Amino acid sequence: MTTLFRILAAGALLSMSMASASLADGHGGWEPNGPIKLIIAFRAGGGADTSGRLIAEGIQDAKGWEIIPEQITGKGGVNALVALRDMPNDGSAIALVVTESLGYNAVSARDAGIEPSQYVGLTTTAGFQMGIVAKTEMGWNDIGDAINAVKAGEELRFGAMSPKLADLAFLLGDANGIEFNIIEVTGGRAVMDGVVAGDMDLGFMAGIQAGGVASGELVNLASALSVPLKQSPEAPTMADYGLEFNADGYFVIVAPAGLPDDARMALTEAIVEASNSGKAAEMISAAFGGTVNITGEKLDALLQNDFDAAGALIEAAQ
Amino acid sequence: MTGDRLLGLFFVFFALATIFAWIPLDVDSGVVENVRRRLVIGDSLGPIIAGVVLAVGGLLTALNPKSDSGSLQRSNLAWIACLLIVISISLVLIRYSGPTIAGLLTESGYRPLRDTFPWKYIGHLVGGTLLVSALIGLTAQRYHWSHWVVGFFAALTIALVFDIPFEDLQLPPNGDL
Repeated sequence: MTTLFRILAAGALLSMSMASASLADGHGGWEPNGPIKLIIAFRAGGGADTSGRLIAEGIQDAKGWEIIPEQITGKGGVNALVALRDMPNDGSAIALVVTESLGYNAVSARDAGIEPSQYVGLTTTAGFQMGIVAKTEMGWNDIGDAINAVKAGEELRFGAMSPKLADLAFLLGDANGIEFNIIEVTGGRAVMDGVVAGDMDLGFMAGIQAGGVASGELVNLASALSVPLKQSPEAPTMADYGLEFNADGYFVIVAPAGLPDDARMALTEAIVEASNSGKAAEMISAAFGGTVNITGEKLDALLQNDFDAAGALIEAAQ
Repeated sequence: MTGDRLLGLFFVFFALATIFAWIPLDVDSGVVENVRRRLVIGDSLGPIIAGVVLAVGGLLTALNPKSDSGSLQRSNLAWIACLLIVISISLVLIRYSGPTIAGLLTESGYRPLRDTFPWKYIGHLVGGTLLVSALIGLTAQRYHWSHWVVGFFAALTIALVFDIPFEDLQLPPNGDL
């Protein structure tokens, strides 16, 4: 009986190890043939940069692949995409940008010649929790109060960290017959610093406001998304105030076009796994409301749609 | 032609090239832009003003050269040419010595090896050694074997100072490959 049990146990172990090997080999056992460069299109030390570096660490720990993060900032991710476009499409170079980089920002920077077809989307890592935020001490409950303040004669300084967001702020004012004094700065932290310091009266923040809102120092006046914010579901959307555009978007990791399918699958799987576990998952949850993984054809369609729709927003703001 | 006049003309040419070639090719927005239904200053305005100031300064220098400003000698041109040659060759060695050696000795080529010892040091050490030692020799106006030693250790020190403490920092040319 004992012998039979041992034979069965050995057989079970053998089956399990074969199944594991088979799963690991599900995408042809693709492995990078050297270090992978992860271009990060965001300022070092910010939330997006931190999430990218934690994902890189997670992949290194789980897969043993060497990931070398490198900052290439500027033009809302367009500079990073230009650099990535010229790199080998063998899985040794990928970039963390935002969907806006391949949409509004690519269309705006016509000279760069960026198009979604030049890239392969691997996965999104997080969505924005983009809100219009002010200090609680301003006494506003929602964006309607701020609009009324402008109508009553106040001049409000509205912080935005990208041209697209500046266009949205402009069109939000336009839709309500007012004009904000729009201040463009670099990065969400600069907007938050400006609002907290009183240099701006309100501004867009993509998740960085979570702690301030939780502590009661800041208030989400509106969701800049097509849906309510997770943290402040009672806040209206910009559509409630007559704006047909929104700031829906995601952090996304892309590779140059022509990436072999097995490499795309292996990289996607590794990033999805890393962004849903360990420190990366904790950080993304705290800063951006949780990991969001959109992959494959759905991601391809998302990037192409963003690119195609960008022209309408640019035209409306002209 | 006096040195001042030559210097002035050089900067007039440089300023014109900046205004009419460099800035239009490198800066996306124009002098003024129509943004959100109002005219705003474009990114080109500042550099163009700087270029105009440079051109005016160059023109004034060329038209009113100091009498004691000296003149350009053949030895001056030779010095500049030597500097350019040394720097150019060194940069070529920094960029290509690693990939060339890896291409000869390995099947994978240089790129997969660019962050591994000893490959990641090759370009920096070969090009850096030549750059430092040749500049010492050029400045001292003599050749001595010790210049190579100083050049090698200077390049090695720089490589180690940057490579050891910074995990994600890559020595040239590895970050661009």
